[in-house]
Amino acid sequence: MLKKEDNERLCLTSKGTPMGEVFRRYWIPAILSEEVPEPDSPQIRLKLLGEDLVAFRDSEGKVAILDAYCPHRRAHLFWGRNEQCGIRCTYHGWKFNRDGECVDMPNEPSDSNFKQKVHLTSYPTWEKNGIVWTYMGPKEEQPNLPDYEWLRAPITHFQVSKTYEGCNWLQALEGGIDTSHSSFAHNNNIQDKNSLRNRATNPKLEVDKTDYGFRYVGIRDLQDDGNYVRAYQFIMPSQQMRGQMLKWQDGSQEDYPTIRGHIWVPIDDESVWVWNFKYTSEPSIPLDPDFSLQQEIAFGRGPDDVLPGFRLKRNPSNDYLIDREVQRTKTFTGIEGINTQDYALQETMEKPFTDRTKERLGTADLAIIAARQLLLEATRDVENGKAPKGIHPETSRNVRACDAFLPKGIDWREGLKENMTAKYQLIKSN
Amino acid sequence: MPLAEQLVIPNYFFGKSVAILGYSKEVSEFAKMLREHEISVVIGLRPVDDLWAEAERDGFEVKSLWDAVESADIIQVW
Repeated sequence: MLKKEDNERLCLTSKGTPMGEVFRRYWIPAILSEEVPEPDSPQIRLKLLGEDLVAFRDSEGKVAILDAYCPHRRAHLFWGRNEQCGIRCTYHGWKFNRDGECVDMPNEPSDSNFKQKVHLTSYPTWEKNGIVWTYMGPKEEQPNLPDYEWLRAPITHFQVSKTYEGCNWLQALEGGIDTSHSSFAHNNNIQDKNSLRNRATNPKLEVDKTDYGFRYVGIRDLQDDGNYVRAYQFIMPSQQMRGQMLKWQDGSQEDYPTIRGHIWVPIDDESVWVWNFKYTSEPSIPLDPDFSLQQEIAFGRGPDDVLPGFRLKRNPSNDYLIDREVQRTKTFTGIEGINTQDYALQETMEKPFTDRTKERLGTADLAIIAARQLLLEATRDVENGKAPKGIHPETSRNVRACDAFLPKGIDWREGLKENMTAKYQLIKSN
Repeated sequence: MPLAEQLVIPNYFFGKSVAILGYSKEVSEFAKMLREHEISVVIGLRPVDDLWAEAERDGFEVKSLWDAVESADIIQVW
C-alpha cells in the first residue's frame, strides 16, 4: 500500500515531476537502430517520458533525437524532409541539424541572423547492440555511457526487441520483479506437478540491497534435489535481469543458456516501452537464431504476434484472445504468450495507473516494496541535488543473473558467486 | 537434527542489518541465532498479524512490512 502522493510521485514521469526527473538522470533506450536504418532514411515520431520527439539518422549516419515541434509555428517535424545533415520543416523550410541548431531559415531575409537565436531541444544519442540510447537530463549531470554486461555481448550472442504495453510504467516494472507470479500466471501446463516452479510455489525470498539497486533470489526447496535458485538483478531505475540456464519443465540444461531481462521506459503516464533482451551466458556459445525466434514466439512476440507500432496482436480490444477451454484444461490463464499473460493482467488494471492506496501487499511482495523505496529515495536524492543510485556504470557493469541448483546448506551468495559475475569483458573506453 | 543445528548464518550477514518478513518457528530460531551473533534483526509483519505480539514477547523489534524492508540491508521471506 502506498500513500496517494507517493503513488503519483512514482507513476508520473513528465518533465518536472519527481520520477520524471529521476529518469532524466539515466541513459535510456529510445528506439531500435533499425527504425532509422540508414543515413537520410525517413524520420520517425516517438514519445518518451511524455515528450513528443522525432528521431532521424542524418547524412553522416548519426542518430538525432529532437523536439517534435518546429519552434516557428509548431508544425510536427514528422512531415519534414531529412536531407543533408538536418531535418527541414515542410511548413516554411526551417532546417535543424542533429544538435538542434537552426541551420537554414529560407523564409527570412537573407541578412537576418535570427536563425542563430533559434534552437530546438535535442538529446544526445549513443548506439550499441541495435539500440539507440538517449539522455534527456541536464547536460552537466550526464553520466558515463551504460556498460551493462549484455551491451558487451557481441551481436552474434545477443538479441533485442521492444513491445508497446498500454499501462503505466510502474505496473510493468512491478510485474517484472514479482518473483512469485510465475508459478501462477505463467503456468502453461497445469497438469504438470513436476515442473520446477510447480513443485514449490512459495519460494523463500531474499533481497540484498546494492549500490545499483538490489539482487534478489527465489529459493525453491526441491527436497532431495536440493534448492532451485533463481537469482535476479534489479538495476535502477527500471531494469530487470534473470537467468534461464535451466529448462523450467525438468531442470535440465538449456541448449542455449541465456540471461534475459527487460528495461521499462515510460512513453507517457499510461503506456510504456518494454525492451526485451537476451544473451548467451557463455561467451563460447553464440545465440542460435532459430532458438531465439522460438523463444520470442513463446513469450508472445514472434513475427506473427506483433502489429505495426510494436503492439501485440493479443490485446485488450480482443481480450487477448483468451481461450476459456484452454484455461480450464491446460494453462492457468488461457492466454497464449508468456509476456502477453503479463500484459493482460497489467494493462487492465485501473487507469491511468493502479490505485496503490487500495492494495494489500504480502510478504511475497518484498521485491516490489524494496523497489518502490529505492525509487522514492531516488526522487528525494534528485530533489536534493544528489546522484540517484545506479547512474554510474561501474556499479552494475559486472553483475548478471542466473538460475541453478544448489546443495542445501550452501548460501547462494557463495554458491552462485561466479554465476552472478559478468563473463563478457569490460569496455575500457567508457 | 535440531532445527537450530540445521540453520547456518551466511558470512555475508556479519556487519549488516537483516529484516525477516513473517514469523514462523524457523524464523524465530534463525532470528535468535542472528541476535546471539550480534547481527541486527527486525521482524516485519502486517499490523493485523497475530504473530506481532509473539515476536515482541520473544524480544524482537517488530515493524510493518514497509518499515522492516526500509530498515535493513538484507530482507528475507521464509
